[in-house]
Amino acid sequence: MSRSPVDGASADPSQSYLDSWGELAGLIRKGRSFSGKERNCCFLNTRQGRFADVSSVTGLDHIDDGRTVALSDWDRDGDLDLWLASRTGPRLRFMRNGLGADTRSIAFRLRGDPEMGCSRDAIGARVELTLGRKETASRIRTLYAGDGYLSQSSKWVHFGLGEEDTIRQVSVRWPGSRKPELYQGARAGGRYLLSQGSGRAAPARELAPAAALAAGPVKAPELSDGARIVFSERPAVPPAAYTSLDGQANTIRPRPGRALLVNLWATWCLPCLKELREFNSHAAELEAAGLDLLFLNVDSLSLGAKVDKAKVGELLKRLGGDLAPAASPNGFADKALVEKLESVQRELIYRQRQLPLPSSLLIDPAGRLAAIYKGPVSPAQLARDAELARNPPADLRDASVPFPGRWGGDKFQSNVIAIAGVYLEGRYPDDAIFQLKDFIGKQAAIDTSSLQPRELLNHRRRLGDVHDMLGMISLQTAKPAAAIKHYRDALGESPDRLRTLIVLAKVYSSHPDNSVRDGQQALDLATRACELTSNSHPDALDALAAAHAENGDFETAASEARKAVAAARNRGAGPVAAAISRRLRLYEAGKPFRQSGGPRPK
Amino acid sequence: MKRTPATSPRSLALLLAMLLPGCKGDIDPAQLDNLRDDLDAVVSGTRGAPPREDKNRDGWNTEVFSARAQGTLKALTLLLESPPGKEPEAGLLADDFQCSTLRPAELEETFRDRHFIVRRGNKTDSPAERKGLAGLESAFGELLASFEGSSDRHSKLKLFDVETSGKDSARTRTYFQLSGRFSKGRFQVKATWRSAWKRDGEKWLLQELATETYEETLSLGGEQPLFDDCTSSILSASPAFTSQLLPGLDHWMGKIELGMGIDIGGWQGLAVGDINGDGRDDLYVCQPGGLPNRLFVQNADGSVAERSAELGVDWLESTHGALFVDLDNDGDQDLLAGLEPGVMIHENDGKGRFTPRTAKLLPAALPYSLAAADYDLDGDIDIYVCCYNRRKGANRHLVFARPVPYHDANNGGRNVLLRNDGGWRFSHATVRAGLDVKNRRFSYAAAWEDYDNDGDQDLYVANDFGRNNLYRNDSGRFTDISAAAGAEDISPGMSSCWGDYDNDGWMDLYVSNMFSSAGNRITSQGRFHQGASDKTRAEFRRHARGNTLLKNLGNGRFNDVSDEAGISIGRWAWGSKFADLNNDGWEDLLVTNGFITQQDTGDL
Repeated sequence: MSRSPVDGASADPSQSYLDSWGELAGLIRKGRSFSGKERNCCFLNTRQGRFADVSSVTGLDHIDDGRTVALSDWDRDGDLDLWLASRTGPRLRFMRNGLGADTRSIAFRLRGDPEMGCSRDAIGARVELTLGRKETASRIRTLYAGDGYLSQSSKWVHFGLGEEDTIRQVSVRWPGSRKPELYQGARAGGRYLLSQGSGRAAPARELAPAAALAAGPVKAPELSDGARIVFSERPAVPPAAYTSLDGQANTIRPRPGRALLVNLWATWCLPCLKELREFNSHAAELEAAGLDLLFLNVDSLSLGAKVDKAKVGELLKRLGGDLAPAASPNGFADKALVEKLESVQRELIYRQRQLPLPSSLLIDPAGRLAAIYKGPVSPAQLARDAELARNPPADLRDASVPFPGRWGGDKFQSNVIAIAGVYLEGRYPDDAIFQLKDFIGKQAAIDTSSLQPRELLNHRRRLGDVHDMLGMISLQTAKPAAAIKHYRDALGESPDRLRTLIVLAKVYSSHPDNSVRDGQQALDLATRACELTSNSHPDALDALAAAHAENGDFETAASEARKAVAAARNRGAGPVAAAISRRLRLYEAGKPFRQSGGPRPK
Repeated sequence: MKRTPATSPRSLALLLAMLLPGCKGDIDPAQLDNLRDDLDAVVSGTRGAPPREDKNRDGWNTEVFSARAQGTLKALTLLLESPPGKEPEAGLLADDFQCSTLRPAELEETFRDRHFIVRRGNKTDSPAERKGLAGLESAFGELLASFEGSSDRHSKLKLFDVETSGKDSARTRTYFQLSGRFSKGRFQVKATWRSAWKRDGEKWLLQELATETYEETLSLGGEQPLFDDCTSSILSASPAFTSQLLPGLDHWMGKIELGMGIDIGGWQGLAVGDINGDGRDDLYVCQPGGLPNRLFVQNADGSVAERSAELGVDWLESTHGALFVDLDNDGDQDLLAGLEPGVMIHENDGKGRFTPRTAKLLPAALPYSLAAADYDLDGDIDIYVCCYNRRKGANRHLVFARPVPYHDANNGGRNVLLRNDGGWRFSHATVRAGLDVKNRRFSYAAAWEDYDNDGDQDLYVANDFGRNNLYRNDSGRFTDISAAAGAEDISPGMSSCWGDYDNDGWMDLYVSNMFSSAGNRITSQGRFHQGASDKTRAEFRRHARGNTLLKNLGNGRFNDVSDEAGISIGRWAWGSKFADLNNDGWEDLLVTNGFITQQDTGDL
């Protein structure tokens, strides 16, 4: 394994190297470009092994942050059109190839025959075209599913024919077949279906031309800093102090059961005043929506000490007089407070832009940030969001995305045991161990005294499962001492874990390494397992038998093993009964049982 | 939950560029020190800290020179974009300045079809022919003479090679591009210039300018280029386009919380497939976390209807790549979508409606490119999944790339081969198929092809920060033969595609990397990381060279023919694809590029 928790430290790059990545990321986050404004490239094959730069003359040299290109003769006119995806807007472009009827081409869809060993999609099939009347030339194309960057092109296999109009031969080498299959009936300019085993190129269904296509400009909208951002992970707003209009010290705090909108405004900011007037004229609706409004003036940020406090109060009263008094009186926000509020959003949003004016923060009744509005927000939107802040839906994510859609994450098993299991399935035990230990490390930070009894139980059960899995991996990788430690840790979380008791008892009784075995420990654990299951569990009885055998008491061992066989049969577990029977014969012969040692490949 | 800012920058030039001052002003010596420290750190990730040089690091002042030289050339070539009669500012040219013609008199027409003419010329007259400012003006005049009446002219310069001798003189090589349109069509010029410089106090004066290579291309379609942008006519009626896809990603980076898994890179791809069997291609568009993936179903007239919600594929989790593949051999296109936790595998009901059948969790999070093939020739399609980063913990944090060593890293996420076992079961076959070798190299993309024409599918994997993998398939068991085959292409690999560009019956390989003029300049310096071995230095230099064309020799080996072919400079390249765009039977090449363009000025 190239990476393990043990050697992980050696893979740690130097701090200054890491810092440089972080610094770079920070600059980009603040809005800097990095290898930006680069034009996409197109190279024309001029033969003799050379290409000419035709990026500009083809019209393909978009200055987009280009990512992906996929090919398709979308309009079915015999040339390759392009779909392009980019980081910048427009994020999607369709570029029509204007060759059209001007040149010759031929295209094929392929259908493999699973009976003949080829998938129906025939991915990987190689089509070879032989052209020309006298001088023959060959062209090959393969059908791909996924190439380039994050891209899949059309499954139509396309050949340009140049000046040639004679197709001498079409052949397909189907995956799984040794000999290429020849196809009859293909003519230049056509579109055909090639079915494996048919030997005949069948003309594809005629389709109407794509009449809707027309060239025209496409332009992404200008970037604006205005935004309504709803959070699915509502962070607590840290205690924030401000000074009220009459000079009293106050704290931003919502009233029980009510949401609070903190609005940052300035007397010189016309959109702020307009917004305030808007709020005022919808005061009753906002009140009914369970929303309190707190107006914090930020004049001091630009005017310093010259702020006319009386004027601020008067303006607020004149424009917002109908608004119900909030729990906390309106006031002034200083630079420190604005920075504190900014820092809350900075953790949550990638694009680092200062809050514009006006800006508002919607705080839910529990004092957590539910939404941020950069720029003015309409009272109607606010009323809806106040409702959302007070009565969040079960899944806050749905309210936090700009368009509806579905979530697939829940369909993937994502608990730590499942993820470690995926690593094990892929035979990456070191990665599984990393995940499990990482989980244990995180759990250690939990203050268990704050958990409800049921939560505590679950917490300990989960931790026990993780230790158990670590024990199992350790056993499989021939580290019995580590395995014993992990199993002990699992029992430390809950002493009556049946599987753990049985497995650990068997390690103590039957491990091939003499220094690992401990008959007394085995007996104690197996006895406990049998007590917990009223002497009816075949595996517990089997473990007890092995423990007695390890202690030299083969008579008792045989007797317990017989009980175990009976219990297994009772449960209809034939193979288990058979395995225990084999051990029973050992005990009857006065021999202990030994597990096979070493790593057990899965 | 906090989320690490999600960029995955990936180049040497990145480190250089972030510490270099760009084209204006002087370099701060402290910055140079930082730069050195960082480069040392990069290499010390490999094999211990190399010996430091003494503190007098004047070697890096070539970057100061480069910035000035580039500025001078830019100022001069701006004249090409200006109306005639404009004078250059004083103090750019040396008194004894001389130049060769910038458009060789003897041009060979190396290509002509109905759409394009390509002419090339290498031989130029002696620089002594044109002297002083008048000489330069005459050279510019010759360059533009054949494009008389052209408009919309743009020029671009990249200084990529610097050689200093003593303190007062230097030689450089520069890529030069000029494009424009005239009544018959469009034209573009691509040339390499050699220049000589001499110091005059604080200034560097251009002493000599000579053409090294010259290529001009004309399109014959009049004002209309070969490709039209028909995006609006297809998509403007779709709100999914106008409100979601028309704005750039930066728009959404300011409107969706990071916790949704939205990332700045825009690493989202496309899949074309006919989902309803009507003979028309449809399009699936992958989207970052918080924005739904979109499915555009083609109408009879070529326009589209967006039907992702109705057809069950409007996933909101971050999705990089997707594929349409008939996984159950029932004749319709099923869908694989690489969601953040793993691959969501959907069954098509034959009419284009999709139902998730298997949610395949992956050892590494965030699958990137998917590539499918029947690697074991058992008659069903298997899937290779590129997993750039490793999963970090059981949470949804995006992992910041930490390649170690920078230029040859193997600490990324493990790529996965999912074997199709039938019945919508897929098992991890990476290890047993022999693909877990050098399997953690920050892989962005993979492409299958039978490069040795032996009837099974081999696999090429493009890896960021280092060597790529060519795995030869022998009856379902793979061997990494990239070194022996000459196909490692040590560079920041982004994608690759196969195509028989020379029509010799053997599939050749194109790999998109990154061209960085700054990286070329610095890594070509004698002083660049003197402590490291020649091999390491060469590998660093190679990183900045650009894209690679590997010619398949048919004997199991590949030849790097990038320089002769003239396809290296794809800039900061991502996508790459062979495509016969002019239907002449010869594969052309497409490259999409550019990392991050934002509104703020000042490219890093």
